[in-house]
Amino acid sequence: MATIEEPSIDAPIPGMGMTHELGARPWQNAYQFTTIEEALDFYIPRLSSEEVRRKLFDVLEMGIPVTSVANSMQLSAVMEGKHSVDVGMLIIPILMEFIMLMADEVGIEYDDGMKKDKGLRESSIDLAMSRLEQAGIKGLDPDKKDTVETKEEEDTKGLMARRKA
Amino acid sequence: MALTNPAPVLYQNLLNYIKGKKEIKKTPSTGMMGFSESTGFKSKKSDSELSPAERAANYFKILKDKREEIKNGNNRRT
Repeated sequence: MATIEEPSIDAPIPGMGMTHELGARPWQNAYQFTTIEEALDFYIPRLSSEEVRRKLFDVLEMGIPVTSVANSMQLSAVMEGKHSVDVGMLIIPILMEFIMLMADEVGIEYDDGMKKDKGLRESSIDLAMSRLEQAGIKGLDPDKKDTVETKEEEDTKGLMARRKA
Repeated sequence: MALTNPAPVLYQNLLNYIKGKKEIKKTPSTGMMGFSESTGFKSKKSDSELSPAERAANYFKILKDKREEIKNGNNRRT
């Protein structure tokens, strides 16, 4: 009698050998700070220290937006198991405001990262052009707008054709 | 497009929340059936009773006010 080989449920999932066991990563354990207040007690003294302040101002003067700085800070803390992603999301605006407050106190010009770049990027134009070419529309030249050819309606013949005036 | 940095959205949302909170003003309750201000029904939430988002908004507002003060001070000097 032929036996059907049943799939083994206990078999390791692909890539399992390359991962750590559960709980080995910092973010898989209990977080060090569970509330906003605890997390801020961790961040604010660090940010206020002279060494970090100097480095932070250097980064801001380089043109790195405050949004990116705040996000990177909370993201690295999440990876270190300091606090959860939820707490991180809640403290991002507070961190941003605190960084901007420190920069304003010193009089540093910075990019807050809130302005949206509404200008068209070159890559977007190139992508649109390549898609148009793929669609079979030829003769498009971005510099010449008049080169777009419009197809004239073909003459329809037969009993049901519309008469021309 | 994937959202790689949520910071601008979060900041704007919190800013809108604070602005919205400012605009809501309590309408005065007048008339015989209106609650008087001295009634014991009015309860002010303490910080521990507020939700984490509300607490975050409070901290945010404190820092924002402080920053506005600094900005205005600098403008006056120049």
